[in-house]
Amino acid sequence: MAALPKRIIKETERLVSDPVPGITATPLEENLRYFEVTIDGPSSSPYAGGVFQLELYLPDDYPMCAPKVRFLTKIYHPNIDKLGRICLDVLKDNWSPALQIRTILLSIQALLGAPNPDDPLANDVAEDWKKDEKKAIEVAKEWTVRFAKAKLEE
Amino acid sequence: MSDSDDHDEDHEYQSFEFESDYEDEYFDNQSENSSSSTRSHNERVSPSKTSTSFNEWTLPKFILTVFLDKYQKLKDSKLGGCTDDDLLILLHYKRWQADEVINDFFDNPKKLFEQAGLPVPPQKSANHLKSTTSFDCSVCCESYKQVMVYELSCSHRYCLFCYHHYIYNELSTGKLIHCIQPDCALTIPHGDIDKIFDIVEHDSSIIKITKPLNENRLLVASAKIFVDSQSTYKWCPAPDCKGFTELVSSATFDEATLDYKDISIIPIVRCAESHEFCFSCNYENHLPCPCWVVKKWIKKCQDDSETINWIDANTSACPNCLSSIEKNGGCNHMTCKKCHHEFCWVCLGNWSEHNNSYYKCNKFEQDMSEIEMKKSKSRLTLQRYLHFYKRFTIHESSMQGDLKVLKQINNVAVMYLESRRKDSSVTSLAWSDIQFLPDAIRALSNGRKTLKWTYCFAYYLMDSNFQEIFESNQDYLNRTVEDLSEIFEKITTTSTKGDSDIVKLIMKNKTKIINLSNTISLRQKTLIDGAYHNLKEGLMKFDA
Ligand SMILES: [Zn+2]
Ligand SMILES: [Zn+2]
Ligand SMILES: [Zn+2]
Ligand SMILES: [Zn+2]
Repeated sequence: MAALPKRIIKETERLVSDPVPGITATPLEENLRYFEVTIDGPSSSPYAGGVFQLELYLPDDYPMCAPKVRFLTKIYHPNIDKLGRICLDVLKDNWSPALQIRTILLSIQALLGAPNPDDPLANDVAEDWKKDEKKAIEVAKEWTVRFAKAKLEE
Repeated sequence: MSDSDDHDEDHEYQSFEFESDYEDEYFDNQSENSSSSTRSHNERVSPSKTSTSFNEWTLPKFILTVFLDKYQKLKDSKLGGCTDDDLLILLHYKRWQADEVINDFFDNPKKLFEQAGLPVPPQKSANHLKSTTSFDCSVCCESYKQVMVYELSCSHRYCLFCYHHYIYNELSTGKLIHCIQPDCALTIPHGDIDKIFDIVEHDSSIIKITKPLNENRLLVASAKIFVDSQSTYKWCPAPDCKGFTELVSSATFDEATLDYKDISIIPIVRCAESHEFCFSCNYENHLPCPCWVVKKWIKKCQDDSETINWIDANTSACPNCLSSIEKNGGCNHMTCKKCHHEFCWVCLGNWSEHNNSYYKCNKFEQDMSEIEMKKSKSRLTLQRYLHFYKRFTIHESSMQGDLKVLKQINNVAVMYLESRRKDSSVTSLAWSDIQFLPDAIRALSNGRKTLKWTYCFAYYLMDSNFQEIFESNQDYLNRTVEDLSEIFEKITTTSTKGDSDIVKLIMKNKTKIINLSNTISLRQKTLIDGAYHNLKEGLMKFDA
């Protein structure tokens, strides 16, 4: 494996020395481009109290192209599909090499606080969300308890 | 090379000793086409009657005509406060609709500028590339003592290496490229993109524009996306060719109502480098075959590829002494180095039988001898297929061989002329003297292409009396193609004294080469026109 670019080393150092509240990102020892990530559900959202696990991978061309991020914990959200893929502009067309791992993870946390059913990835969830928001929020809470808290109570 | 070598070349038309029975025909042809000797090279190889018209494009020509022509007009209309860079960005943003730029500009210039990523108020042209000291780039996280950086009027600075890499990735979209800073919408001018590439890729700090604007990297990328997205444009399928063609009009070409009998509606077009191809299948010119026959044939060849692998193994030995033969050029007249047996590479028959008489190796003879009778029907079917398939592929590989030889000859001739030009002594050759070479190269490779597809054509043809006419046209074309191919191959193999010898031989054979090229084009046309008429009249039918 090629030497790790200075950019990735710096970002990793800063994630450890100056962590973002409610977010952890730890690189694997055997692959420093692969991070295990947790994000706490924002307090005012149906995901409050849940701890969501994600994986983040920095492709060879990083930072010229966006990191690959995916939810590992099941989540009921109009912009996140069954496979955990996230619909977020900064992960696609609006990626800029000046963005960082921490800014991306913060954007994802913000997405949990502000679901956007008009720009959906998970079509059926977005439909439910638009039809009956109250009920959808209940389901999201239920899923949070079932999948994102179970781990804590183990 | 000494000067004495090239005094008399123009006068010496002593040719090789080739058996030839064309002389009479040359005169006939000349009277037919006296209007223009290059007639056959300026036309597509297609039935005389065709409704297809098209434009040949290259990217620089396209950019100049479609993009930069509007740019020039916009420059003339003098939009207040806009620099040339701004105008190009505005046009690009408005997808080269100059009217829209002008309308929106007079409507709300501030809004238009913001949308296109231009600074408000407009800025004067400035140099955005700077050399700086002690710079920390926040994208690559390198700390530089001395480095080139790029910054627009927003003052967001990143090192040139990061900008180069970033632009390299963005270019494929063909869209305007903005400042790296995520919340900054400022657009990078087209010219800066080439400057950044030139500096980073040539590792120099001197800014010089090496490319004209119609080869600008972003404009090229944008034009490519445009061509890809339009169904009236297609890239030339020839390997390594960057040309593309715009279909202006053609017969309605709808699969469902496709008239299977009329091959004149096949949209054969040409690219700027003179490659002919079918706009419908995006395959090389496959006349006289209709597109549906081509599709069927290609599928069959793919499906049967394993069964026919043995062919290669069987065609690499001399039929007389069985010593192995290496085929270099495109010519199919083989002479065994060991036993000097002359034979035909295609059918492995005696070459002398081919020369003056009927070129028998075209025809699939269903020899019903006793041994053949014993063979099962399926064996015969396979044998019939292999007969045509083998000839199809041999012409394909011969084409590669021809091209190799011709490229060598052409290079030698061009290099020779260049060296003569530098030499102040009297030149006995001019560029116009070797202009016949590219024409001959084209004629030969087009002739082979048609020949190749005649075997696919013949495979699907139903037995009829007119088949014989087709086969004899095929024979005529075959012989001329092989003869021209042989001249070229002999020029390279018999010239022992290097390049000057090759040039001498080329000039000696000039008339012969020109005549053979013209004959190839004529016979090719006869063959295709014949196929067109006979199919249309229902005299020949495909066995679908
Ligand atoms: Zn900026
Ligand atoms: Zn940098
Ligand atoms: Zn071409
Ligand atoms: Zn076609």
